[in-house]
Amino acid sequence: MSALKAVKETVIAGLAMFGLASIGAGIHWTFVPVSLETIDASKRNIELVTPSPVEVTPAETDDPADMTEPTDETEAVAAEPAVVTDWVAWAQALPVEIGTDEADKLGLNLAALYVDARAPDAFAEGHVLGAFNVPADDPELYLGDLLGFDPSQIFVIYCSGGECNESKIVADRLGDLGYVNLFIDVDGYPAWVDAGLPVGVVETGGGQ
Amino acid sequence: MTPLEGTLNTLTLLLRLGLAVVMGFAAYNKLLDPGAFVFSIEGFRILPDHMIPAAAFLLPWLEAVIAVALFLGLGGRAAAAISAVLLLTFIGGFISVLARDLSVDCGCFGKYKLLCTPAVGTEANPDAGRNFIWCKMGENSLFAAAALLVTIWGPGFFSWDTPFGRRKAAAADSDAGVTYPRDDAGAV
Repeated sequence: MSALKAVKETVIAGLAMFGLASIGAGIHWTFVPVSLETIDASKRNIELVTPSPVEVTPAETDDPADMTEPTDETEAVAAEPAVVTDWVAWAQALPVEIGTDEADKLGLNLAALYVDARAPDAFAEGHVLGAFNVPADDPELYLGDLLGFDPSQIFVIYCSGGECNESKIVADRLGDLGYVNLFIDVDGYPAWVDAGLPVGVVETGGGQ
Repeated sequence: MTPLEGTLNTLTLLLRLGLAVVMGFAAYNKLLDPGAFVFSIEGFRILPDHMIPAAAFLLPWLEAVIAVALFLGLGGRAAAAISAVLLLTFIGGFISVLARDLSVDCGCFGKYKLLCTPAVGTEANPDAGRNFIWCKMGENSLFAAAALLVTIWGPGFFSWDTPFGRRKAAAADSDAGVTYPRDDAGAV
């Protein structure tokens, strides 16, 4: 058999495989639609959330970060409210992707829970105080910790910041569980530490 | 068939089956959760958003077809060639990620791993993410080398294409009056 014939056969076989794969992928995609939109903000319903029993307004915090001028990004989202009921409206108007400042305020004022999407060893090394660990590469590992909350519970999911995608994977999974009030802290854990906000450390993975 | 050819046919058989298992495992885990795989692809920041869902389905299906082809030795050389191209493309993606200092979880085997444990840089180990990428490049290089060997030498023993070894040997036997039914049937 000539080399040319072997190459020709190989190319034809390769094209056949590509065609088969395309057919399989097309059928699969038809029945299992996927999207890069992890969170449907239109389903958000923060009115149902029970606010934190401790009413904290920005003016009452002693966090130096809160005393500084708000960033342009914050101003663009909404003015910071003074009472809890306004915090609900403020949160309702937030974009899905938020920064450290908004993540902190959601926890302080609306009892949001934090979900760390990084691997357990990174979580054990340091995480947002009180965060649950749901590692993106194996969400089922600790996903059980997040079952049983009210569907209106606010979750703030974060990973290592920058271009990390773990928080989106976990947000997608939480959305599948029926949670509608989901936010992604795109600044991630490093920014949380840089802001001097409270962190926790554990010896093993799991919620603290 | 010389002893050397026999050894090479055995070696390529083992490499072919090994690649089939790796490809099949990768495909299975991606196909289980394409919704998560889209974010793994997005993490590379290479493809435009509108192409990512298509890639999230096409890639694992291609891996699945390749796995079956490699296992059966049906178009084994072509399957190995596509594997090599895929793996070299992945290596290119990892080089790009390193160059841009991104943190990715490639989602190569879903929640499982072979040689490399997914990691991101932490305060205690800031290079963990980069080390993971280097490890993946090494892992893929091994698989790519195996795929290239199968592409060059052929699928080896017990393949649908050449049941008793390399097609060249089969053709030589054919010239000598020995025929193999599946070759004669014009299998790809």
